[in-house]
Amino acid sequence: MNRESVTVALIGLTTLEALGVRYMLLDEDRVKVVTYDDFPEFSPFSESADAYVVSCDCFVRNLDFFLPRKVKTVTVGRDAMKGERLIGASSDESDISHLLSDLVSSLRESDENPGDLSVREKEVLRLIAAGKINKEIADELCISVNTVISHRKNISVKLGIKSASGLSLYAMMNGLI
Amino acid sequence: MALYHKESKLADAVMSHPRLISVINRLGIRLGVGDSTIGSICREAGIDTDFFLSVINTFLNEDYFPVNARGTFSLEKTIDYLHTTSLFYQRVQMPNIERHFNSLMQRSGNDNNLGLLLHFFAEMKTQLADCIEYDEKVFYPSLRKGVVPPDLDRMVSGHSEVEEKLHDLLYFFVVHLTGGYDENLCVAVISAVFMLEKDYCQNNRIRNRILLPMVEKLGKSDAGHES
Repeated sequence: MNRESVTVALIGLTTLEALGVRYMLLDEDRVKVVTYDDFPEFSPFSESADAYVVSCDCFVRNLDFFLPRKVKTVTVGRDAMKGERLIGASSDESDISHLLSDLVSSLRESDENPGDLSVREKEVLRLIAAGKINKEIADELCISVNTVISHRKNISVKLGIKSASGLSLYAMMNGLI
Repeated sequence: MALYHKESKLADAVMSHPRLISVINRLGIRLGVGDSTIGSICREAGIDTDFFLSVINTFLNEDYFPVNARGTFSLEKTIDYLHTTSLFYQRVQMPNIERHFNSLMQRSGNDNNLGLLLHFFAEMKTQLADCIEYDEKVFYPSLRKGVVPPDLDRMVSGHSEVEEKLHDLLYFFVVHLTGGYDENLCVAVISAVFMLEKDYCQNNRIRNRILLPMVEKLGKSDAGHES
């Protein structure tokens, strides 16, 4: 079953950091973003959030909460603190975009049956089958090319099909085109 | 997976990995290998033992990178091997799949999606033929003249797309086949595609790990002469 939407909580970020992350999540389909100044403000609403983008300081101060939820958490902080899901001051824009996109996709996948495509993925698949390239798909759906690449990757993983013409065949077999 | 060396017995290697039969054939060795070691068989057949070992070890091991690939192997021999491989695909494996596929279509009803899979197979076959034509008419002749061929990326991506399509064809059979069909003939088609897919992936490894480093070396030497 697909989630209606994914709620991402931004906790303890500076105004600029929060604006940047919020802007990058605009590309994602059915994502609700809620900003909290710090953990005490967030705490009463913690159950309503599906994923967390949190400052390093806030992460360290609230390890009891974030460590068990590490796979749903992206930390924002100093470059010296290297981590798998860390956004630093000099992180590349496309890396951040991929990181956030993967975070949201992984949440959706955890709720879906393998092979179930989201509405957005079906739209991307339909356009792949129509022979459109990534840039054309991005323009048509008003999303970034990086997001299209991320959707393509997820579609291939879910369906087990690697080639573009294989994806077209799948779309044809399943009445998507 | 164990690596083979010149003291290994070829018969043991082939008994453990029957897929090697077509590989040793392409390298000029026929069955009836006796009890001899790889080193002595290669010596008698006039084959570079290191090259032979690199080919079979790369073929069998996904993680194996031949240490000598930039060194002493003969470019001619590597091209000869890949050329023979392409002939094997075109003259043996593709016609074999086609024959089984046509029988499957004739012996199965119309309530299935085999027609779509046959169309997908035909598309893959055309792309494979294009890749081989490019290799034979442009890529190999250019290398034989000691010149780095144009469109190297096109060659690599073309072969990699064929590999993906072979994988997808198998996957469609296993996961998405619908309706009634002749089970025995379906197994025959899938087995033939599976054999080709394995062989093709393994030979792409040989192309990427043995031939391409040689091309890279050739490019550097060209650049050296120009400067």
